[in-house]
Amino acid sequence: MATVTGLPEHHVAHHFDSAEQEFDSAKTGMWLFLASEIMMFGALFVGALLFHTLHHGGFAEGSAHLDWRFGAVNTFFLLTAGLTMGLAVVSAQAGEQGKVRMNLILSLVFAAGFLVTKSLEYAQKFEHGTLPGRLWHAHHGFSDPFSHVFFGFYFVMTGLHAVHVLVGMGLMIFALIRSSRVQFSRSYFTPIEMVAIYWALVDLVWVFLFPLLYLIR
Amino acid sequence: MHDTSLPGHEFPKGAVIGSYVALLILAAVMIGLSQLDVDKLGIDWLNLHAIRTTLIMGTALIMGIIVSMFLMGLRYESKLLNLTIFLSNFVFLLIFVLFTWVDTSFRGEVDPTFNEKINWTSPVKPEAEEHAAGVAAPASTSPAVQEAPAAAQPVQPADSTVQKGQPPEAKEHATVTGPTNPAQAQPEHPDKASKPSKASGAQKNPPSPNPATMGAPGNTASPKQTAPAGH
Repeated sequence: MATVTGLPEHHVAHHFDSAEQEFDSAKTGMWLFLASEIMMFGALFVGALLFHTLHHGGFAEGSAHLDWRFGAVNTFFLLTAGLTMGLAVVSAQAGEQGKVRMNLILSLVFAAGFLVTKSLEYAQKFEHGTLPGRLWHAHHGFSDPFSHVFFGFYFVMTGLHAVHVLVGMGLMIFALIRSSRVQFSRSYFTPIEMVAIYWALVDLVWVFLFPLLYLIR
Repeated sequence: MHDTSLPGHEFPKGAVIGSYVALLILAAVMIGLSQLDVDKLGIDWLNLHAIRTTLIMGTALIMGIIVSMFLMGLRYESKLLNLTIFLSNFVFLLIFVLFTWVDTSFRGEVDPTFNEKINWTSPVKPEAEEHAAGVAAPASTSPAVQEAPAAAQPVQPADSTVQKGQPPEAKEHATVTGPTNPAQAQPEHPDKASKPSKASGAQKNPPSPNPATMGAPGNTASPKQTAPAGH
C-alpha cells in the first residue's frame, strides 16, 4: 500500500510491537554477528602480531616485498565505498530513493575496484612464488626462513577480507534490487543501514590490515 | 537533533563526510610515517623504529574509532551497548593472548608428538645457500633428485636415535619403526634431542640447531634438516 508520498507503507512483522522494536532487534542481531566477526579477525591479528614479534626479520622481509601503493589504492576504494554506503543511509532516512540507488551503485563500483586491485596484487605474488608454506617457490630476495610465514598471514587475512568484500557486494546488490522495487521508506530502511554497518566492519578490518601488512617493517 | 519519526538514529550527512575526510588524511599520515627513513635522523638513544610502529598503529586505532563511531553509528547508540562492545573486545583480546601464550610457551609439553607435527622445514632458501647450491649442482635439478643428498647420507643404525636410559619398549619401537635415514629421524622431544643425556652421552650425532624449522620459540633444535640444497 502506497502512502501519499508515493512510498510504500511498511508493515511491522506480527511478532514485533512497533517499527522501532523491529529495527532494534535487527540491529542487535547485526551486532552479535559483528562480534563473531571481530572474534575471528581478532584471533588472526593476535597471531600476526605475535609472529611479527617472534620472527621480526622474516616479517620485515615479507612486508618489504609488498607494494604499499596497492594497499593505498585499496584503502581509498574501501573508504570511499564506506562514504557512499553512509550517504545511502542518509538518503534512505531522508526518503530519497534515487540517491539511495546511486550511492549503492557507487559503493558497488568502489568495492569492485578493490577486488580488481587485490587480484592484480595476488597475481604478482603468484608470479614471484611468494606463497605460503609448501607452495613457496620464490628463488631470490629472501634470506629469512620465516618469510613464508608472513605470506601465510598475508594470504589468509587479505583473502578472508576479500571474501567479506564479496559478501558485502552481494548485500549491496540485494539492497539495490529492493530499492529499485521501492521497498524502502523513511520508516523502513533497516536493510540499507545493516549493509552499511557490515561494510563499516569491512573498512574497520582493512584499517588495521593495511598498516600491519604493508607499512610496518 | 534526533528525528523521532525515524526508527533508530539519524546519520548526519556532515558527520559521514567529515569522517571520510578524516580517514583519508589519517591514511596519508600513516603512509607518510611508514616512508620516513628514521635511520637518517641519527638519533641512536631512541628506538625510532618502535616509535614509528607505535605511531602507525596508533593512527590506525584512531581510524578504527572514527569508523566505529560515525560509520557504524556507535556514536549514536546507548552507553550500555558501547560499554558492552568495548569491554567484550578486551575480554576477547585477553582470551586470544592467553591461549596464544600458552601454546607458544608450553607447546609439546603435554603431547610431544604435537611438536613434531608442526615442526617442519621452511621452504625459504636463503640466497647465499642458493648460490652455493647453484655452484655445486645443476640448476635444473628436479625436486625428486633434490631429495637424493639427504638420502645418500651414511645410514646409521635405526636405534641410534634412542638414548641410553630410555625404557626398552622405546628402543624396540625405534628399531621397528624408526627411520633408517637420520635426516628423517625425529626425537621424542626436540628439547631432549638438543641436550644429550649427561648420564649416557649416547647421542653420537647431536643435531645442529635448525633455524629453518617452524614452530614455537625454542623449538629450533629439530634434527629434521631435510631441506635440500637449493634449486
